[in-house]
Amino acid sequence: MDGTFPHQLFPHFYLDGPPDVKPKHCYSGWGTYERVFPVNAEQCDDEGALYRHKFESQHTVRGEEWVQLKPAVTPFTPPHKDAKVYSTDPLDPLDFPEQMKYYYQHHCMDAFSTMGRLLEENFTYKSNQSKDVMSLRWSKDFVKGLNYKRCELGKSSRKVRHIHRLLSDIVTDVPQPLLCSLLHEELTYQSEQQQFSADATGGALGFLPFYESEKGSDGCLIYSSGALMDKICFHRVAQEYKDDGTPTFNMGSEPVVFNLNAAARQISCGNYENSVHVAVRSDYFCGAWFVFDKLKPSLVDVIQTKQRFSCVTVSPHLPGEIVVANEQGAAYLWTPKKGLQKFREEDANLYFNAKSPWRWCDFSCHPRVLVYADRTGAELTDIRSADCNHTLFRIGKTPACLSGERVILVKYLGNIHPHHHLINTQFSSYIMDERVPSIPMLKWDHMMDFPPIYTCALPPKSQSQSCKVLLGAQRSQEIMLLQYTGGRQHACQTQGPIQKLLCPKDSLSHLNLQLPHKRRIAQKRLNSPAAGFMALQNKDYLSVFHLTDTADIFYQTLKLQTDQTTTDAQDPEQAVRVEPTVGDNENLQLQTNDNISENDSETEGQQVPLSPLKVIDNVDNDPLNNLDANENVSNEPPNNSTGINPSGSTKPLKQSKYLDLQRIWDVWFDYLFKNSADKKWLPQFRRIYTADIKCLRTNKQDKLEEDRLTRLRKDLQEVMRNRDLLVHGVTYLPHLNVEQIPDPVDPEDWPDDVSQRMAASWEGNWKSWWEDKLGLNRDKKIANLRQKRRREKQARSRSRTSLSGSFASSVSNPDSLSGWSSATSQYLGSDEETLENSQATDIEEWKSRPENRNKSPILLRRFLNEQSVEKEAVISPLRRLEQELMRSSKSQPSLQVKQPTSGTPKATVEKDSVDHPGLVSPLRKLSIPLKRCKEFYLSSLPTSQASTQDSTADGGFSVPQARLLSPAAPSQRASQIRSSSQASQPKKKSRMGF
Amino acid sequence: MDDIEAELNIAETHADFTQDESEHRQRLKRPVQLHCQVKDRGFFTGIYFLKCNRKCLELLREAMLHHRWQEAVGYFSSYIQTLEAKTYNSYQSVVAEILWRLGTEILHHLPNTSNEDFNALYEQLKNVGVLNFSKISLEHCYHLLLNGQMDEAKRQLSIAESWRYGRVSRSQSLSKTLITAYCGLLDYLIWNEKKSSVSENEELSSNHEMHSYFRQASVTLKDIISLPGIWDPFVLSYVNMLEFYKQEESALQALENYAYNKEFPSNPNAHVYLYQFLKRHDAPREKLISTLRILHSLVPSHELMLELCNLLLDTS
Repeated sequence: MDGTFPHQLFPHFYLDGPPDVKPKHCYSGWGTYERVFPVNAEQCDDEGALYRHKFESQHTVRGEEWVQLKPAVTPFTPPHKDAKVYSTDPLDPLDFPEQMKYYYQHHCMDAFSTMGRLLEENFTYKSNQSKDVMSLRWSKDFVKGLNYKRCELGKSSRKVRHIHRLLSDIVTDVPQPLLCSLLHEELTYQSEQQQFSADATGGALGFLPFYESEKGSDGCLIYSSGALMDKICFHRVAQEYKDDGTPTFNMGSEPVVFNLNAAARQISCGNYENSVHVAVRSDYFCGAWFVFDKLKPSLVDVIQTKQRFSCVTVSPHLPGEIVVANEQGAAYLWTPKKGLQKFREEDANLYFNAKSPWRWCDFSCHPRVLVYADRTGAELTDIRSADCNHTLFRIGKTPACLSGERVILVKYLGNIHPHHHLINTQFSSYIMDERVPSIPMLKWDHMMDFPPIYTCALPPKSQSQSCKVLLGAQRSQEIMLLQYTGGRQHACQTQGPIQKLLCPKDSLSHLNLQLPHKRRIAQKRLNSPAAGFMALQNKDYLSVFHLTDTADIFYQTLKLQTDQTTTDAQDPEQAVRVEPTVGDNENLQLQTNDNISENDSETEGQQVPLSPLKVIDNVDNDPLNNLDANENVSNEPPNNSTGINPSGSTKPLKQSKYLDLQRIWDVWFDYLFKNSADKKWLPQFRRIYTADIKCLRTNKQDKLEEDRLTRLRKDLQEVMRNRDLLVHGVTYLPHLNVEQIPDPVDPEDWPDDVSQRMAASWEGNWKSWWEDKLGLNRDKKIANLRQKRRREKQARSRSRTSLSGSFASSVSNPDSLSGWSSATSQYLGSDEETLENSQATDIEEWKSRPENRNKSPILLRRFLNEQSVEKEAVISPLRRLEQELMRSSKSQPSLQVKQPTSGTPKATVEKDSVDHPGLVSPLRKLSIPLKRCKEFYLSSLPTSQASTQDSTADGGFSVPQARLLSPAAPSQRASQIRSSSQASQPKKKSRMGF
Repeated sequence: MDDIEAELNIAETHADFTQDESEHRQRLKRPVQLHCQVKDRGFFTGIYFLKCNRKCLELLREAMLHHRWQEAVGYFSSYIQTLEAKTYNSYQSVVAEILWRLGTEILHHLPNTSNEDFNALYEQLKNVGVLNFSKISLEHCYHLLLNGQMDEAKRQLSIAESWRYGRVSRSQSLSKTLITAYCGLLDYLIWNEKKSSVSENEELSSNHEMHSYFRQASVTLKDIISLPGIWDPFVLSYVNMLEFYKQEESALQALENYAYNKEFPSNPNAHVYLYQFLKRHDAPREKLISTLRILHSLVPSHELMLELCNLLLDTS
């Protein structure tokens, strides 16, 4: 036994108590040296003053470089025919109604049989029923339709609903609420199991080497197989080395198969001098097989209990010793054919209550000292005495534990170091030394997505090589490769960063499989969780076998990048570079190392999306090309660019390198699709058959039509090829009827509310229309009107200084301000306003008509719009300006006339009414654009409306007066406008004023 | 809020990046934009920024796990922009830690990386937020030590030792303790150098400079080895110094505490050091045997058991 112990260990804190550090991220395995210590500080005396201290870190930067030989894993066995592929989508416990529906539908006899019997005599499906038997013929369609996905609302039936209300709580054998809660519970458990199931811990794949030689080796692969993983296969595998040392595996003819009663969860092997012992664990039984001298394996013993087994391990020390543990907490030493010897039983978890029945046992350096572990830690137990336990590992006592950390797997690394144990938690892997309990010799953060429940340890092949530990996860299939050295004279040190190996589910992206439905089937198959893995190392090659839940076996081979091959390249990069599937490849290159041809190759790879392999493998199997390949990888020598330029003729060569891989996969796919095609396909949707309809149509087509169609097709193709247009005239299609453009819609014809609104919104006045309709702008209008009037009054009062005692001012006293009087004053005020006022009078009149009175303001508005449009049409702004100027010049003298105070009132009235507009309006007119006038006009509407009643009540007094008072020319024009407006809108009734 | 900030930030980052890349970091190219959907207005929205970052980190992780370092550089240079999202302080410190870890690992595996690159990365990331300061300082010091820059490492350590930031520095107490311990260790190493350089001269113990180093180192080392844990290098240096100054009693006390204190984890080396110390100082045979007996109960397979056998044979 190796008794040496490292002279110095790396410094560590030792904290006792529950860990309180929460995991923040899963990248903690990178970028840290963990600890350093000076390696030769004490030798300084001998070396002298110039001696420089050397330090060593616990995590070293460089390790062995292992590179993939192929971009994807290779299938080892054809896909199993009856394998059940379960959906990998996570189960949602809240989906229980769906599950219940399925149960009621497809297991109706279980769900309803009792009540169905009782109710049998009261219901019938027959047509001739007696009086007290109810016919259910109507429900046939409903029941039939349940097989399809359909609209629940559209297909609901009143009768069914009635029956449901009447019978739903009594018709089921298991009461619905009870079934619901149980189902929910079960689904919750299932989804947890899907995330992580401890059953498969250890893995159901093993390998027994029989002999090894220079030329090759012979061994036996042991794996579980079958649709339910309920077969144990012992399969001879011959390993041969090619000239360059690449290993190839040849399967023997037929495996030796043992059928089990349940799924095999774990396979453990022990290899002794002339025999091999294999233990297989299923849920409730364990079996032991012995293989003597490569003969047929023979079953030796089977044990069965009522408690689930959680662990079985074959002793590495003594043949015929197996240790088993069950979920009750009991651990036994099992000697086949002799029986079990219980050495430990725990009711609870070791150190704290982790609420987990999982137990594990393994051996240690002493054949009678065993490791007993559960989720909280691991203890060394001496089976010869009752109370001899020592802590090996404990969550909380081991430094740098995280809160929530649990032991996932314990493995004795006897083949690497007699005192070392590997302890996996969901965050980290620890190498523990039995001699220093609780303090890890080494710790990695393995950064895996799912807890590593499979593991494999490979001892170094030579002194210079590192020890390898591989970790495998179930759900994500990921496999990590960790390397470390030390443990004897030197303290343990990790070698290089963690490396992730290929996993089966990522293979499709590197393969040529183009049809989407086939891709989906294959992906689903490949996504199934891992059931175990196994690794073999010989010389510079590392082969890793994967077993998935569907009993498919894949393997991959890695090659050690030795110094000899990397001498030419200054920096040995990985030989296989899987191209990133996303992202701009050009950006991924370092500028200094940019190699034009390298970039070319990558962009070319992008341009051809369906190129079968998106990987550039630079390790060639041919030893002659080896140097070249390594140089290519290094990107260093630019003169080498021709060698790696894969464009043109070299590219197919690159692909051809993996043609054999593609061919193997093609065969595998063929098997897979043949199997899946055999399976019956259940339609989920009601299918409508259209074949007969098509037949009918083709029969009716005559030959001429057919000819025409073929010619049309040809034309179309021709046109598409030339990127032209296909004009109807060129074809032989029947002429198209020229449709008349429909007449424009006249809003007049649609006086109803909706049409008006539409018309308004079409013009863009929708908002104002609504405001008018709802009377929202009433206050604003009133305010506007008031302001206007005030302004006018001010203007008038200014002029009144000269025209004292005028008639107009005496008439329009402030108290009797009304819409109408304002209208008159406006009329008097300006030329423009006279126009408007004349229109206003029109409106008044129009409004006063009984048939229009009760109508909504829409009509009115439209009317006004028309009026204003006409007005605008009649008086162009320019002309109006002209008129104003003329008039103002005319009125100048009259103003001077006004200066003298004397004069008859009548004359002044006349003068005032004529001259006053001339005084004010030109000034104002110039400033107010036409549009605003219109607005004014519109805004004053409600008041004018309100005043109509008054004015009509007055018996048309004001109107004639206004007309009387108005000067001739404006009134004439106003009447012109009026007549024109009347022409556009015919009026039956004559105006009241005339 | 977040969206707007992110939106603004990403615009800034891109501007910064293009300038920075061209000016300073010639080796890193423009950031990769992954699955970026640009809105009609031409902005990146916050949600895309986050999605993009997450995707980028995933790809970065995959590339690093498969040891595709060149590819990882591209993703890393894009992922740096996450630092600009200053929405959450705690989140930022996590991002800074991730960046530091991934960044150093990538730098380790790239050709033509210089020490300046490492220094720049450590210096910049330790000052993003304050939560990682001690941790990154310590790792920086390790890096310098491994590359033989002991003076620089000493300087970094003393900076980290004097760093105070209220409660934050207290919460990093473990790494602060380690920083002090390594300070002491470096003091010892300097003392050791001085010792060997002055060894020709006779008045060794009266050398003042050496004595000051001894004082500093012994105080800090004494502190650290009184805490429960495994402190092999520290204990060895401490004992070595005390032996030199003929303070055997305190050395023995320290070794016995290290070996026999119940709070300490059982460490075979502690017993080995004690035994070797006793042997050096001609301790009585019984004492040697009892020391080895205790070691025997812990590690029956230890090399020193042969010596125990010889001792026992001699006595009987």
